[in-house]
Amino acid sequence: MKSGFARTGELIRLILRLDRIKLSLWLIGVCFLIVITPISLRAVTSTEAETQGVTPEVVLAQQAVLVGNSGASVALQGPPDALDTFGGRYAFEIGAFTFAIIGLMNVLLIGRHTRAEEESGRAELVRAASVGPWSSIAAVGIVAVAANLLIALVTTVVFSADGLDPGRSFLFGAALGLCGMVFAAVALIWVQVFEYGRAATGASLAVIAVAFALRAVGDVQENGLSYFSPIGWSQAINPFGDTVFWPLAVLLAAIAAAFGVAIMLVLRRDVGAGLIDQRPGPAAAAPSLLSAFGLAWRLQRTTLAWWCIGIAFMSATYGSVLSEIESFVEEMESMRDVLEQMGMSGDAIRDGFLTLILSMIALIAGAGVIQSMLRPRGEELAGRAEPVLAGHVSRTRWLGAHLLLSIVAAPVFMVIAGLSVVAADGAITGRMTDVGGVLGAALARTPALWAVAGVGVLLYGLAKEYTLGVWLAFAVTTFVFLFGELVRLPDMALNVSPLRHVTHLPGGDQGATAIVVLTAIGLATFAGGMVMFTRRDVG
Amino acid sequence: MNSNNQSVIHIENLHKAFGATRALDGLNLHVERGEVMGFLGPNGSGKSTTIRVLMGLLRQDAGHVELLGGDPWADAVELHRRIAYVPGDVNLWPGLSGGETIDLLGRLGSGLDQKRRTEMIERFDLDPTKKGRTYSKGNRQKVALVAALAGNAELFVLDEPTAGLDPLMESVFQDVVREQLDDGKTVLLSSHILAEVESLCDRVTIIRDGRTVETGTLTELRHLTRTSIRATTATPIATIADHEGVTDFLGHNHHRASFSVANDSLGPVLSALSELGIEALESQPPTLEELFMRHYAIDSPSGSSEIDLPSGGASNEAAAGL
Repeated sequence: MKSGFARTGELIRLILRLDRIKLSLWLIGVCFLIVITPISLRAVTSTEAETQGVTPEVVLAQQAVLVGNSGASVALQGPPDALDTFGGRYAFEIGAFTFAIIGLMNVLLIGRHTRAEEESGRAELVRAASVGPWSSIAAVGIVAVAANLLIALVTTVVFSADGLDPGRSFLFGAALGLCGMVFAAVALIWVQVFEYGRAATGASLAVIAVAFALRAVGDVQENGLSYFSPIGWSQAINPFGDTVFWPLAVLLAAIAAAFGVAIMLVLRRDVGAGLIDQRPGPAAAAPSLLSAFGLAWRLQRTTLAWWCIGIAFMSATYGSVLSEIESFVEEMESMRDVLEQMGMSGDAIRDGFLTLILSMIALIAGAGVIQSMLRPRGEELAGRAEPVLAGHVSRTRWLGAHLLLSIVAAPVFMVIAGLSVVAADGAITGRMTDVGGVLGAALARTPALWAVAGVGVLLYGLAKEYTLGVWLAFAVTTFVFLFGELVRLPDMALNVSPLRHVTHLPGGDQGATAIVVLTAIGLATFAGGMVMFTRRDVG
Repeated sequence: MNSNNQSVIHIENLHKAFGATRALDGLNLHVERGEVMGFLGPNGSGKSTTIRVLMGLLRQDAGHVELLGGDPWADAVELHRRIAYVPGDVNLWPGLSGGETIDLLGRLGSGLDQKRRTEMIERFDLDPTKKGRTYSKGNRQKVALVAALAGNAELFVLDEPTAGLDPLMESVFQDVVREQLDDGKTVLLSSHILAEVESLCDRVTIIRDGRTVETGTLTELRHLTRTSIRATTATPIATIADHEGVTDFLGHNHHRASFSVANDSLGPVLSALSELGIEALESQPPTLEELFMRHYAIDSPSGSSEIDLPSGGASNEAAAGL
């Protein structure tokens, strides 16, 4: 049994060496979100308190009514528990989205060190050394546990330093960390089941998306769906209110169970093989494959289809709570009065929520467009650009075929998003409302996706090594979207995010200039990157 | 572009650096129409880099490169219709079957003759229905070879094409290449398999540290090297040791010795031996191995003859860039 884990220590060191930059960046990014929330909220509330001449706690209580009754916030962030305490508010603002981001960090970490290594054949070298069958997943599992513990620790320290009860701070940190570990353990199962890293990572991302959506619907409708989601369990702990402890046990049990299943599955398969077998393929190619575009389509279609499904699912989830958001407000006399004084009607609330979720879906769709845009880089790194470019295929044509798919994917994703929102809302209310308006608002966000992906195309044209910098552009956009207002970034910084310029309301016609400008930026970056690509070394 | 030009590949003083690493440092290579040029050199000496420059994948820093009368960088797309290329590292799409890959590479490359495709698949004993990721190294190589050899290329650029093939397939490969030669095709063959080079190549070019160190026919190259002699003479043989062109002299006794002779001194040394009264004489021409060892192993100041990946410098950098 012990030899089954032989040399795990060395493998851990290898993972830390290989991943020292990526994992560090992820941890810094996540910890930044956790650090910035208390700092900015303290600043915001004390400024407001001074203006009103009250204590910050009073301000917090005022805001708690507004924030807690916003269905949109609940759908995005989590249950509105203990919002009149600083801790509760921090936990709410850090929110479900951060749980999902930590999940993403774990899933990608697992993917990098399991399937990707096997696909490259490097895992074979490692396994040939006297390394146990479980050493590999134990090593990456331990690294993931350590990364999540670090997040938990940082949360505890930051919240305690803010003056919160250390025990409660630790509970919230543990909620974040344990949730990350659940996703890591689930990812370890998928990498055993699927033969391709991409498919395994996709399946793990789907688990995160489902977990997020379940709790979104559950939190808004308060129907218990949240209890089927690891994020829901973690948020149910409610460390700064009426704390419950059973979710900790559930999280720990889920981690142990998933890791156990992964350990068992390892023995049922060969190195390099999946549990899902590969069938033989055709002996000759269909004519549709035999062009640069045909190849690009063949290579990207599965991934793109999964993105479409994921986006449809996510959008339908939000669409299904759309009517709830309206009644949420209308049911509450006091809220309606407050809003009417502010000049907002139920429709405005609905539109505000739509704007928010369309932007959030656009952000997620942006990740899909970026992934598509990164495909040529992957091909080049794998040495599969070389044989095609050694044929009579120009570089423009080869790269253009892949990028055409990325360009088209953006509006397709957004149309699917718009349609799914409207259809889900229609299925619940029995009437289709404002289809054109919602679709238009969804499509208006497309140029922002082009602009972000365009950064990647430019970098790729420069050198394949720089291409991943596109995720930095994506991270900035995400940060501005999630936290830009909260941390009171100056307008100049906020405007860096292309998504901010196309936060169109359904039916609104504002911001045609932004659409034109962002489209122009997108086209220019794509074209510029392609021109640079024709001038650099390949291989 | 003049396809009747006798010179198919003409490289003069080619330079290419990757950052601080000088991969090519004044390389020359000339390939005539209708010949098989062996392209040899230790690992990391710049063979693959040269080939990648020829295929328009890398841009040279300096020097003159002409391919089928055109510029391999500027005219890449047009030239590639006439060239079949087998890379040193064959990487297939994991989800595409071998048959699909052959059709794709053939179609996007120098064309595909359906009859030859069937014939090649049969001769190389390849199962075209398997997915790319399930092929072994040898089978991946076969996929690339079938795609290249089933086309209508006039020039074949083959970068260690038989690495990973079994001896039976190796001989199939040699047969197919000979048939292509009979059709007037030209081949640039980078290889470490000396028997293959000896049996296929008209001429060879040996490079080291990014420079051409030797080029010529195998016979010419043999002339530049030494023959080992083992002789027994009637009178004492020791005087031979001081003869011009004799090295590694090892006297077994007064009358018997073995030594090696520079080929241009062979005549005088034999005369001297016969004056001593030859009783027995064995001579051994230099083997190809010895020929290459001489060129490969000499003190390499930059240590470039150390073990390296067969793919050469460029893709190593790519891997490091990950």
